[in-house]
Amino acid sequence: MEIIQIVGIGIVATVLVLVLKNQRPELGILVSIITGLVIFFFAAAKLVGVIELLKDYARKVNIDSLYISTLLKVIGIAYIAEFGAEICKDAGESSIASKIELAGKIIIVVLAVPIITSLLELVIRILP
Amino acid sequence: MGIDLIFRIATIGILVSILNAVLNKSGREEQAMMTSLAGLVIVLLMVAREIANLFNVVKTLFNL
Amino acid sequence: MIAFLKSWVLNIVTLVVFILLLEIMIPSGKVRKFVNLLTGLILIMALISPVLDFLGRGLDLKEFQIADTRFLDRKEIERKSSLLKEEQMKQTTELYRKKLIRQIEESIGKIDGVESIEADVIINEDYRSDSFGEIKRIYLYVKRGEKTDGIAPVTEIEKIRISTRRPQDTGSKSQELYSEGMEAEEIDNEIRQHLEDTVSRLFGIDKENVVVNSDKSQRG
Repeated sequence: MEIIQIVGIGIVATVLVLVLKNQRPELGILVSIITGLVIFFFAAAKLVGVIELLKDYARKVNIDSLYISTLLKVIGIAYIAEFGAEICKDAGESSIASKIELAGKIIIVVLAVPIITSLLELVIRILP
Repeated sequence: MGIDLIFRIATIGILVSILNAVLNKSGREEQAMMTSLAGLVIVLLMVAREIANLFNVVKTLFNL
Repeated sequence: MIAFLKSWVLNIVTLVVFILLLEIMIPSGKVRKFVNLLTGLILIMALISPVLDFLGRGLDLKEFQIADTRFLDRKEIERKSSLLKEEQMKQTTELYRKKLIRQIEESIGKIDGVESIEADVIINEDYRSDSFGEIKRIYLYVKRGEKTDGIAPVTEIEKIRISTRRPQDTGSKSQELYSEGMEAEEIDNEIRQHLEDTVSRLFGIDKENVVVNSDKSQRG
């Protein structure tokens, strides 16, 4: 019953942030960051097993590891980028947040480049 | 790692704001400034360690 | 035919399930659109490439990816060299070198008859020159696996040592050992040739600059 724990942590932390926000907004932000981290760690502990299982399956039906590793990398980048962007947005710095998102997008596209080029190469080879 | 970290940081925050108010009332603005800065740095260190932790977890999880 | 269809369908189904799960897991932000683009591309690849393999016109995706990422990395590091300070530049170059080494080790580890491999790379670290980031030399330390025609590597290596240490020994026994040692050397040469070919093709350098050594710890 992790969900109860997580919701409890969330509510308590929200109240604490509200208390701190008037006096010391910077510490309020830090509390909200740490709450996000705690909740993420709860979820990540669950996720580890699932991802291992999926990888095992992918190996069993031998999917090209290029696909799987790229997909996982993209998810990781998306998580980190969103995490940073949300924090910046919470603190009212939406311009920094959008820059973080932009960088995340670019890095994802760079990861996609080998796939795009090999797709193009495939198309070239299909045409006689 | 857990809820105690949230409480610890919130406690530091509340203590710092109380200290700040008291010192301000008694007319020692510089010390009030210093305490608030020290509190911020301490909390920032704690949070930075956890963020590094998060990055490591994500790195290993999605083998970045 | 049936086996091919089976593996194709399994591939696609597993990939679709995988992608669906990832779609649920991805955070709901602006990055999402780009992830969708990427998953779509991957799905298209998975749909097309087995057919081409079947027709005998497929391409090795791994090699393609290595060549591409190496190109991108090198361009990036070239660009950075004009922006960063010397100290940072050293760190970046070191990181690039480590990545190259890992790529080499990964791409070669699958070759038949190679059990494990350690690579070392020398790159052009003078960031003012035009060919900055170019690979100058690749050293490979190969530990042979047991797949080489059933000759156990341990005994074979012992024989080589005997033959080279006492070349003037004219006993019939050592003669026999010598010939066996020669045979082992030949296999070594075959693998060496193969390694040199693969590495020079993947990383776009001359064959003379690929140095293949046997693992020192094994040779004694």
